[in-house]
Amino acid sequence: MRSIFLSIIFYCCFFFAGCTQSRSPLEKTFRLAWENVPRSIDPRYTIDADSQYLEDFIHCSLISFDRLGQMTKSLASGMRWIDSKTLEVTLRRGVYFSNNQEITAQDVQANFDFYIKKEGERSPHSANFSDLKSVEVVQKDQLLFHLSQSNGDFTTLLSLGLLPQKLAAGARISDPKKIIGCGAFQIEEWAVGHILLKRRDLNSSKEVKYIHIAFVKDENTRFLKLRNSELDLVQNSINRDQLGRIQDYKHLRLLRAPGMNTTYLGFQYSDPILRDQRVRLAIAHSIDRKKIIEHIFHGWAIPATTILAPFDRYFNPSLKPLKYDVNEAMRLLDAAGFPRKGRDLSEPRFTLKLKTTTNATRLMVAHALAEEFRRVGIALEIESMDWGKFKSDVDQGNAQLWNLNWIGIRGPDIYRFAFSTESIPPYGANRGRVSHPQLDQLVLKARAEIDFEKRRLLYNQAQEIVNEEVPYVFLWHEDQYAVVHQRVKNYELYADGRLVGIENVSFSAEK
Amino acid sequence: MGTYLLKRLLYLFPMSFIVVFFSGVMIHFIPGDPVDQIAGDFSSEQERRAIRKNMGLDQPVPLQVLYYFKGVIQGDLGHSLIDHRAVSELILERILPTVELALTSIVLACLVSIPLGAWAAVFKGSKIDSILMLSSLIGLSMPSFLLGPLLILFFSVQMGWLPVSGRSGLSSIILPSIVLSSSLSASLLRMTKVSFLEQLGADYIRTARSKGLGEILIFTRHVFKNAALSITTMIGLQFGALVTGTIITEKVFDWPGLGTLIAESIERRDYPVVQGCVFTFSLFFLLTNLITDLCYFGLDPRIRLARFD
Repeated sequence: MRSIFLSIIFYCCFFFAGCTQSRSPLEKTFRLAWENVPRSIDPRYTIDADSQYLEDFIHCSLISFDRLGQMTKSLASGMRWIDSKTLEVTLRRGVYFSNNQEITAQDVQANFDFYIKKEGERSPHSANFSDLKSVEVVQKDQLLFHLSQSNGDFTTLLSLGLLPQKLAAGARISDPKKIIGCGAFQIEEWAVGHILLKRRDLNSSKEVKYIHIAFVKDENTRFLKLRNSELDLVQNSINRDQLGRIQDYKHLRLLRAPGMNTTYLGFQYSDPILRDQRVRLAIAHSIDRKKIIEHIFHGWAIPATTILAPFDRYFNPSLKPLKYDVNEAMRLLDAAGFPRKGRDLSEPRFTLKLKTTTNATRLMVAHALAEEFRRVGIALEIESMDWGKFKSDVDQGNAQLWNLNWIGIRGPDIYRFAFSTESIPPYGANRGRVSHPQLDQLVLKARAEIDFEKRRLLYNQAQEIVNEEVPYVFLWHEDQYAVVHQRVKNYELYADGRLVGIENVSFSAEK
Repeated sequence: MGTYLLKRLLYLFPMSFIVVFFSGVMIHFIPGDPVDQIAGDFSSEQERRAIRKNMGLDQPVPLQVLYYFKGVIQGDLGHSLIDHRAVSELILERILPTVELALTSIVLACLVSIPLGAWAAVFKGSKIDSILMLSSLIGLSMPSFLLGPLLILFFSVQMGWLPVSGRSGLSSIILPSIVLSSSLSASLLRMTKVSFLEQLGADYIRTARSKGLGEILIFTRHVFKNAALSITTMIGLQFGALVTGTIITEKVFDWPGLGTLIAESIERRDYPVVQGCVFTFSLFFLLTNLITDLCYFGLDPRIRLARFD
């Protein structure tokens, strides 16, 4: 009997030793859940969205982006083009890393030197810095970026998180304890199921002193945790169908703001049917985007006219959105040489195949598109697959049609990256193999221009060409949404989905 | 006994290697490139080539698997392609929660099913028997992705007794272990009932009764001991399945175990981590089988004699 009793005690002590309890007081801790664990804590290797969100808390950067995704100065107090190939950046003084060392121009230089080095392990961001020749320190708080060719988009690249000189020149950091950042928070605890961040200045007037990020894979579990007041925020990762029930729970609130991510339907130009612009235009006319937005997104999106959101400063307001017009779609298809077939004209004109991921919303959209296409006489087969296979097929040009989301758009250079001939994979994201010499010239010219107004006009022309050419059907810009606990005050949503609004949150006294 | 044990232990590694070889080769057949996950959209082809070379992904698949074996023999399970941490480190931090959940579930299943199965056997045909059999049928047919949220809704959200998910304190293991043990409990209950019924009708029990032996003694000393053999087989087989089959339960309850690690790694095409997890799972299965065999020795002298002869 004694041995059984001792075995039970041993079993409990041994196994439950690993169970963890929170080390931060609830009234100072902001609790949120993410679906995935960030893949990198080293800002030089950050490519996934979760790592970027984490980077916003623990690292600082020369520039940042505001709520509407427009560039703002951050660590840089001043920025000016000396000539078309030289950018002068002045640093804010009195900003320190978490090891209490002040950030100097040498630190910044070491970070950008890493991206342009030719030997050793390189960063996934290195290709973006192909125009950067060297970084020169002028003073302790001033440096010059020398470019090999004019690049007006270069400033948007300065949003990468900064490390101290010694770490920036060294090997990849995968141990969270070794990370030294200059953001408002530092990593207090990195466990298998969660991360705890602690504000570096606990005497600050800001109320959020800790951020607890739990990794909750299951969508239903995230919602149940919110219902059970175990979380303060879940952003963009709760099924929209459940959002309608939020008002039933008095302790939860729903927030919504315009988003800048763009969902599109891509066309493969090498396909004999889709090569014809009239067919692509007919497909664009056959989609009732407003209806899909209403039924699948519960109205939480706006129809897209181009890849940039309407509030982007490079957006061309004179663009005409493509109308839903079944008759026009059928006229174009007839003109393109694809008449209705069969005795009673019930057979499809042709069959297309759409590739998509296993994501439930994307699949619903695919089925809605199939129904829309059927009305104009196009049969649509849907093939859903896991992300790895989907991405590989789309990049290799093995997809006739595909639906995807452009996220993290940081400037109008996206038109070069997505549509210019030089960006056909593996050299970029022109997955549809679009080749339009006039567009190619225009996006290169716009990229080289550093004057905002001239750039804007050039990109407006590029947007007009893209609209006529229809390499994509720009479907919609999904809204950003979040479910927050009633105790959270002043949380602001950002159009790009970042979570920096947490820093300014305050807590209400009542629970 | 010692030689037998040593022989079985030595068999563990070649068997695991065969499993790892096949899984290692097969994962490379899944379409999708791990470099996509590492390099992102904005990298150049030159960088992608460099990554492929650095990680040995440019080598033919059999050669990659052979290099992996070489590492395993030297005690190195490699590094994750995605977050660059040692695979052994990743597995070590996840193995404890998985074993903890599997063991708690098995203990729970035994505590519930063996007494109830015996009860159902003794009162065969009664209302209690029917209720128990019906409950076991529900337990067998209820999928964990449904039972999990239902239990959370009642015990966590409505009653507020237990946390919804996560691994924080003793209370957090209750719901996942109930879910994980539900189908095992159901089949164990049925197995216990059948084994007990088989023994209860045997000649030696009638002899024991005619000798005037008390029912409690007959039950504990004779029936239970003889029925234990098939129950042990079932527990042994199920334990392996529990360790490897926790993916859905781990996902629903946000339990940071090996199941979620292997699922994430397959999604990310993180070959070394998948291979490391498969290697660990196969070792688990083989070790559990060995322990089950050793239990047979303790339970049945006939097996002991047959093996050693």
